[in-house]
Amino acid sequence: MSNLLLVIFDLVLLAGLLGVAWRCLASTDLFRAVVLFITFGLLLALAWVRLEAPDIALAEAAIGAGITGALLLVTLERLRSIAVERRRGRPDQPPDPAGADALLHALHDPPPPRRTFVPALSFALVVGGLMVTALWHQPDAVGLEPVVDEHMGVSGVDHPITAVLLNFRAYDTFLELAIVLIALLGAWSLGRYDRLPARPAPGPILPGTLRLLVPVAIVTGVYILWAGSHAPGGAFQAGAILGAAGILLVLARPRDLPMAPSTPLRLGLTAGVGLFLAIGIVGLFIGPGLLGYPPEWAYPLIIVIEIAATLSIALTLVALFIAGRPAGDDH
Amino acid sequence: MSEAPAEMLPLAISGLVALSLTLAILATVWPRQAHRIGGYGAVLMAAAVVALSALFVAAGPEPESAATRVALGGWEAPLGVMLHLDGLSMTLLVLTGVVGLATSLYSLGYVHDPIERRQFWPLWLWLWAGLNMLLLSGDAFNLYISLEVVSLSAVALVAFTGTAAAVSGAMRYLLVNILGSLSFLMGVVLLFGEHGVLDLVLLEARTEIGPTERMAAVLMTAGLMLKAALFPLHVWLAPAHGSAPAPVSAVLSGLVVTGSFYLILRLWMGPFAPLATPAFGILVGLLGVAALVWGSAQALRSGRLKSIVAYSTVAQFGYLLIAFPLMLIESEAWKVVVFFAIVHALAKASVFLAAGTLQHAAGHDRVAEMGGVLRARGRTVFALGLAGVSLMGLPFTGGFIAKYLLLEAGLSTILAGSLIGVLWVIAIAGGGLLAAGYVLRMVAPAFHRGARDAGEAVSPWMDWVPLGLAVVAAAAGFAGTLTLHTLTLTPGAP
Repeated sequence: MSNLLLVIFDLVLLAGLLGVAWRCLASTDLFRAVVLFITFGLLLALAWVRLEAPDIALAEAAIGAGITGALLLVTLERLRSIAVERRRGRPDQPPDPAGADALLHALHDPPPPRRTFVPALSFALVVGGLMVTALWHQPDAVGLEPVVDEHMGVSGVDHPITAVLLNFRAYDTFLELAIVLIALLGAWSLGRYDRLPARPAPGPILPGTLRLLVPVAIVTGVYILWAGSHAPGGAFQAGAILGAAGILLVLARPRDLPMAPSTPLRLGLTAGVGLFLAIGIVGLFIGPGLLGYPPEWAYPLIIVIEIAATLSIALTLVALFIAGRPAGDDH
Repeated sequence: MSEAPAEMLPLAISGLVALSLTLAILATVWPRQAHRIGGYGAVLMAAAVVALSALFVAAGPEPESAATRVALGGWEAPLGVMLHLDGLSMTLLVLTGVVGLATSLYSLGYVHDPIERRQFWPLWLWLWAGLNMLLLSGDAFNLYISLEVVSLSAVALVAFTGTAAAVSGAMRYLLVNILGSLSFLMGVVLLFGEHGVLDLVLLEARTEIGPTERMAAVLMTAGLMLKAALFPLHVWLAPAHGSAPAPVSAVLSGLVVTGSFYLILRLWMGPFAPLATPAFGILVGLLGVAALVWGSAQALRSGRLKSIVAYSTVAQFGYLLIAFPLMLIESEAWKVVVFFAIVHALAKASVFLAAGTLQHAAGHDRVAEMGGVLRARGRTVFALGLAGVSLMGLPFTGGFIAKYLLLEAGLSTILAGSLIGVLWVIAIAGGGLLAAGYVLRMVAPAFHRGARDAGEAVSPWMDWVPLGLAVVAAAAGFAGTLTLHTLTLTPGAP
């Protein structure tokens, strides 16, 4: 009986995923598309839970739906404020109402791109069809689970996914941290931080909610980080949750955001990769190799790396949300 | 040979990865010192690569056992990630070191604005580290991540000047890169699902010809072709390479594109080797001919110096595609292809650097109006011409040796009874003529009568580095024997 219910649940979930994805792509209003994208991320997280991959579900919910959604929303907000500024004009450039209207129009009701619709759909169907055919013939490969299980004893942690991410394939994880950092460097290279346009002062609800939410987010983030060594969780998920708390704080005081001085900020942003590499290089000389740990030191070293990585990820995500590089960076 | 070099090699490989990452991280933390870190670091990195290659050549005893594999963290495949160094990756590492050093020295002069400098150097050092890691990786998933490091920093470098043309070129480049990466990743996922391993050597041992392999091969190759701007997936290249700052264009056209090509070659000589059929080879070769004709035609039509150079990349990469059918018949041809790619990268980087100097002096890059600057800046024009001559393949340059070897391979396929070989030979020879056409378009105004106008002053780095690199490109022919010998130290290659 419960089996039947689960099948029905899965089918509804699948239909929901397809429906939301379609609505998201078909929506002409960008704000609605972003909201649908966030919904899609949450449904996808549920799908990962059903596929018994709670680690990916956590990451999808926190990063795919949460942080990405916030980034998309703040981009929309900035585009709107650019339109308003163009209409009013600035000291160095005359007002341009036509351009502003065109931009606003593009945000809310862009002309549907008819020309590309049929080719895009047929391409997607062909590739999708071929993928399904290829997957259909695929045997249930054993994968690496037996090998990982065999080495769990010397990995320093009790959760196989953390063992793979922070020990067996630490190099990949290190490079993923580097990619998040490079994304921020790219965003910073494009320009200095512009304050978000001043909106009406937030009412009592936002600060009140934050006072309750931020401590909860911090406790949750630290717990998820700690849990990573023996249960689903880890630096990326914890960093995303702490980053979300940071974004809420930024939103609560859009006008008087305190700006961190450059060097400490950059040290914080690179703490994850920096410490990871430093420990890795020590491992080259006194351990088993580059990015390796002496077995008896594996657990404490992994924890140290995870704490630094969490801090860096959270800071990077908040910095990406603020977008441009802080003014102090150019002095 | 002696024992010591072989024992030191794994340490040296790890050391190179660690060095390039350390430089990138230091520059990220202290952007104010980034140009010093980058300048000295580039010399250090080039020295490290040369030392590594000396160790490699000294240690590589037999072609079949010449690959050095380093287990990161002490975890052997299939559990861990392996670094993999063989003749192919060693040669391209040296290329990366040479072009990287030249670009770094040039950038000391080119990127002089203190604010821009702080953005440029960290990104460039990450890109260089990414290229080193791409060339040293022996693991399918790790290759994907290294590709991402390279692509993301390359996109940011195209955009960092912040002009409208640069940002829109970068945006297009970003979308293309994401599509290419996702396609590559889907292929990796398929292979892992089928075989349960990610290590390339283990994959090669397990591959059979089935629907999964075909699908994975199509997805991964298409993704990489998109990134390498191989015809017909090249349309993004000219806007991105043409609008980027000169040192960035040089690295993109010289190294980043070559990196994707290296990966295609690595995959088709490894796990996908059984899938290569003659009909498939001929299809790829025809694409190459089309690339040669179309890219050259665009280069001949374009009125802007950097666009000409960018389109010539599309054309020159046609040769690499033409080489594919040759490789199926004449198995030694792959070494010629790599040698050609190396000479092209050196020449192309120096052409872009020289073009950057001229553009800086003139304040624009419209060929028709650059006569005065071209006449006054003999040294840079000489660099442009010398590298151009290597691109054309005139005698006594590296390009000549590469094209000669390529023609030889083409002729031997005709002798082996392949009629279509005639087309390849005509294309290889004719492509040189087309190249002569667009190279002459760039340098011809220097020989017209008219006023001389040196334009804006340029730093000595910008004056001398293009020339130095052009001399290296022209002289690369003398390193031909050593390069081909190093390339034979690639186990598993035909």
